[in-house]
Amino acid sequence: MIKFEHVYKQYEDNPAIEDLNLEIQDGDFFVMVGTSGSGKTTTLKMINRLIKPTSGQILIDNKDIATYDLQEMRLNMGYVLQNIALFPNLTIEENITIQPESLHWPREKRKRVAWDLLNKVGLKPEEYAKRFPNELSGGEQQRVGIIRALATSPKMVLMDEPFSALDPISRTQLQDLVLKLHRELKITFIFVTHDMHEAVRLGNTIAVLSKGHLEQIGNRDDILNHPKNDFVKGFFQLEKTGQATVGELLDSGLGQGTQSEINSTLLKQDSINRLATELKDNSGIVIFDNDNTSCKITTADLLDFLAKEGEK
Amino acid sequence: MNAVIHILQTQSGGIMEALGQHISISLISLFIAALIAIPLAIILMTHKKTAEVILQITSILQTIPSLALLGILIPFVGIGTIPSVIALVIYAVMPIFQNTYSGLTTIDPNLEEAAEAFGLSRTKKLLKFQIPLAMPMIISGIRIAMVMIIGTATLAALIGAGGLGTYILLGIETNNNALLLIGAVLSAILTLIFSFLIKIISRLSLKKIGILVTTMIVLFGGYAGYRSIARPDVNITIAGKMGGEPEILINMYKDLIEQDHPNMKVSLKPNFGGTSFLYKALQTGSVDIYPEFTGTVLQTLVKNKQQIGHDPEKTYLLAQKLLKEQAQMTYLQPMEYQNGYDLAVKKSFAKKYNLKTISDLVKIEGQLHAGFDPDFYQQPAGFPGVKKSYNLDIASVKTMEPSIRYKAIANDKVNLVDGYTTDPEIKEYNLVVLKDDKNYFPPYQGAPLMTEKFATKYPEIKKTLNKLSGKISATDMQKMNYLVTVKHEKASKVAHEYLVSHNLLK
Repeated sequence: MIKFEHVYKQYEDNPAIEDLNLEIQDGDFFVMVGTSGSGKTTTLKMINRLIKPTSGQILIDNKDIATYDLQEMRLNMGYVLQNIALFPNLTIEENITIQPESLHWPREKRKRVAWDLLNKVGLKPEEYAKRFPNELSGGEQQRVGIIRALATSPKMVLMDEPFSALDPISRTQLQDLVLKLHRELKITFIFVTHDMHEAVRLGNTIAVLSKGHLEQIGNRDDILNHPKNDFVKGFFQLEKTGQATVGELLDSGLGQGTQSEINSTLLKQDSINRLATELKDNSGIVIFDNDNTSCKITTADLLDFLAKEGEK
Repeated sequence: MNAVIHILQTQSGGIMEALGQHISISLISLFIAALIAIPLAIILMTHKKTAEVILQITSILQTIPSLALLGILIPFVGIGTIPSVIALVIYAVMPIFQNTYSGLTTIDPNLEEAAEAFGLSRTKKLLKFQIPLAMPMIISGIRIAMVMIIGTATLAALIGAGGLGTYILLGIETNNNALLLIGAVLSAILTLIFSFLIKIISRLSLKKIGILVTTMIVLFGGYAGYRSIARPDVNITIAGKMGGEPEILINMYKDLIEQDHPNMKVSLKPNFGGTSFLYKALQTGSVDIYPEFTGTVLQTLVKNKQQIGHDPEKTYLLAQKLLKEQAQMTYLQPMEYQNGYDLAVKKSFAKKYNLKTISDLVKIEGQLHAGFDPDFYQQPAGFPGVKKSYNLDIASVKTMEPSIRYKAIANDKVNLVDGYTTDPEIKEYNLVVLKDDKNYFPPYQGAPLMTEKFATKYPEIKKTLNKLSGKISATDMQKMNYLVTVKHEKASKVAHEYLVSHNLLK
């Protein structure tokens, strides 16, 4: 668990972070989102001590990170950069295994790890391992950037706007990829982005930052449907348009509790598009688990909801 | 061109040796410079302020003229290879340091951040990407340094470190363009070859470069070790200025000393450099003896308020006295010949007008067309003085370069030239020297010069070298110079033959 306690960061006279308090649970997909100058990247870089807080404490597993051996700590922490930053003089395989090599892993093991990871992200090792970074496309390069961060099987991976320089198609593919990797590896991903769509798509927990303040922290539903203040509401307004969730439908008084067996894996934070699909698949009646009570939504509920939304 | 081929044929041994010296001085200097500059840049890459100070210092060092630097170094480290290498290293450090530093500090900051975040150690960072990415810059720095070193190393000849500069300086000194060309062309070729080699080396991996460098260190170390063991103990070092004549003289000294004192070993350093370098070398003890002219002593080596007379005996005594008083030097007895200014005409011309002395010229002054060296034409002790003393009014005078002047008289473009009394061209072009019957020209007599300390330590050497006192006439010297400079015979052989034929050597 990572914990920020009253963390401040001051650059000359400009406060970058003011009294930041937050917790990141192990295995979470934690997204920090905000505009530029919000302090999201500063917060991320404080975790691996690229940036030192002016005051306050950051704890990993209840131990102040300042007390960890810096190199040892970093060697076990993945890091993905916005600019990818593959070493141009090293092959793809050498790039992936740069941390394992520093940890003195035997050559065979290093190769195996690199090849496994390349396979995992759909780059054929036979073809890619010996190539140099400039022979790869931007999307391919960032795949390598991501698996380079995973090579030591770290407990956590920090990602600093890793997809912002990519084209929309590559970006979506890579988002799917990190979601898949997160499901498989069950390690903590801490992800920084300025794109609220990306934040909502990826994050289990989303922290909204603005001008060095933490505006709100919560899951998708909290952020989208219960914005704490106007800033958060405004920030996700665009995101919400046409993308209403099942939670909103329930909030508007539709749907009802039931004793029947559930027939769907639908979640409160899922979009009503998903609900529509589920309704179609289940002959117009979806029964799903909502906070440990079964809940029933029918096609009529969906129509009512859409009609109401249209009136707004 | 024929002259170049002739020299290449007759002196290939010497040229190869000079080439070897040049390569080893250059390589050692380049190597030491790189060994200083690259680690320094690596250490300072994270200390921007200090690095800038160092850059300033190295740039200032760069602006010191190389000749001045050599002069400054002599009192501290003497002469020969060591000061040359030090001077070259000082020059070469700057380009290597500057390039390495900027190569290392202009790497994409994102890569630095990535490496930092991955927890790579300083060494890992250097080996994994910093040095490899800075390599093209480092190599170009080494290349710039190398070109500078090979060029500047030609000056090493001035302070007795040998190298191709010997031929360049000798060429300038003796007006032999062939020698000059050989020295210059070889050093240019050397630069090209080295440049090519560096290009090849730059393509190797860091590991291979490491192996190569280690091998070089071991080989050089071994060679140096071998040299220091294999070199026989030398008791006495005798040096001579640039040119054939001093080389003949010092070979005579060697033969005489080794005959009289079989237990002594003499090492010779011919073509050692200019007057001031030799004199400094004598003072610091790097050289024990060298032949010097009386006129030169009074003009450049000692402070002298008196007018230099034209009596050779008086000039010698004054030089000897002042050297003893001012510099604690012992100046042995001079030889007979004088190597001063003279006026010469063709033998046929002399016969036609019955010319024997400079005074004889006056009666035909209306028919004289002279070719003079610009220095001789302007210096008060040269032509202006002659004109006054002899009341000589020559019809026309042209100034020209020394070597051209002799060719001009050979081709009858002029009929009177100035020269030095022992110039081999006098024999080569069949000229006669007119007697300075009014003793106008300041006397230049050669004699061995050494420190008092040395003279007291080896009194027997004084006795041995004084055997040459009053020996060797101007004609003898001309002949010997002709054999060595024009016919390219070995100086040692010519010296030996003279000594034997004059019963000085058994």
